[in-house]
Amino acid sequence: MDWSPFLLSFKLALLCALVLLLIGIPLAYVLSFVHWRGKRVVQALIALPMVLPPTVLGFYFIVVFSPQSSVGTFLNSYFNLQLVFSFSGLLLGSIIYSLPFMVQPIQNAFEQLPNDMLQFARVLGKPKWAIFKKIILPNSIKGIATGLVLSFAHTLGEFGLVLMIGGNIPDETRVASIAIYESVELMQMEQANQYALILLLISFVVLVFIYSLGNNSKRLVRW
Amino acid sequence: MNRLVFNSKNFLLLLCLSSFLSCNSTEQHANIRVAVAANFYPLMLELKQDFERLHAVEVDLISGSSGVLSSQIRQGAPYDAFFSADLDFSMDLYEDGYCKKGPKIYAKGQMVLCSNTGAVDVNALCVGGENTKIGIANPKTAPYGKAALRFLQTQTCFSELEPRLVFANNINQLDQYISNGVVGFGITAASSVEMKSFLKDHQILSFKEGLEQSCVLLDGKKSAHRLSQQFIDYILSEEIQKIIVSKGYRL
Repeated sequence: MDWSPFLLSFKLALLCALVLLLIGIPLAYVLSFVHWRGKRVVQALIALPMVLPPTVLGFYFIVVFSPQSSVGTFLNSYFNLQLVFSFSGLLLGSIIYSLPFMVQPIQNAFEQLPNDMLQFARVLGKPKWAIFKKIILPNSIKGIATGLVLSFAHTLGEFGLVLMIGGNIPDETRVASIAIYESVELMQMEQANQYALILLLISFVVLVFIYSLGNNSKRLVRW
Repeated sequence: MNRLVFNSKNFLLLLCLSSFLSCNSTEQHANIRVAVAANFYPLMLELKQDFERLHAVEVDLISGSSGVLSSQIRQGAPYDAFFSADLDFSMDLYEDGYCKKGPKIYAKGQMVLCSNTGAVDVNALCVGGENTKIGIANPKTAPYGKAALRFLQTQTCFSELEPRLVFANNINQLDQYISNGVVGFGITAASSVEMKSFLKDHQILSFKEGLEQSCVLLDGKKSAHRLSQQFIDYILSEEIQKIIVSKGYRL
């Protein structure tokens, strides 16, 4: 069995989740604790990939980053970077596509923190940065873990976007979901079966992990 | 648990892991990327092996319908050579400056009509009834689909056939439709019948009309030009051409 599509998928999902962690926490902070105009608009923009067909995202991605476009030409000539049909493009696409899956769980966790706790800390004279590091982050760990795992899993399961902006290039953009599609097309059912089974198991384990995070036995109601 | 995750050492470890992941996948040996029309893909997978051994190079194949591949090339896909299922797509790329040399014919494709319903002749197409679907590749992107549609249009009962048409993305998907029985009839490549044993029993008609399948060396990556040209020459060599002809193509 050829493992390279899985290696590629894992690499993509891991990098995407890590980058999203760095973007997601500050973004969730700004959305939860800072009041500013246009917040709802930004919130809607972040959630957009959840409802948008991947093809819409793929279409705009190609329009913006194709070598004929001005952005594409600019990136190519100044940074030698090509974003369509390349791994880096896939990574950027995945980051946009999985953004809500990282931001929303963290934002929910931030917003559920008791206000008293934060105000006590403030009254006791702790600077904001210390409050963030010592109180907000540790108490939101479940939300952050959920975001990390969800965005990892969501990137792993991506298909339509990869098909549009990645093509099907071995070791560059042929990720596991694309490899399954191609195996079925070529009637290599055994290989498709192996790939599909592995993805199924991973998705299942991910969900079990997330549900076990949320399980709080103290609140269990018994009759 | 919080200590575990936010410990900076652990985060560093994660970063190391990710950087390890990012460099292990491609070891530094030469490779070329060849976009190949779906009908030729199964055969190309076999043909490329000898070339890879001889030249110590990895030939990565990207399969799809010729139309899809050619628009990917226009959008900047990093392919070194393109094996189209017709002359038009590669000629257009040449005329629009995506390659320096004109296309070369590497095979003449033939079409076959396959049936999953036990039909024995082409007349069965018209009497197949509403529920028997007819599969062809997408005429807009696949030359085989275009040629198949042209054939169907010559049939007197075309107006009845039209609503029964099912369009596959490319020849390989179409073959899958035929073998699954999703479509009762399918017009696919003769090479498919040769390469895929499951189609053999289903063939009922082969067409006179042929497709001039042509290939071009793309401008893309300069460092890959020499090897890619060698690969094209290899496919055009007499020895390989003999194999191609034995697999459902004409010369």
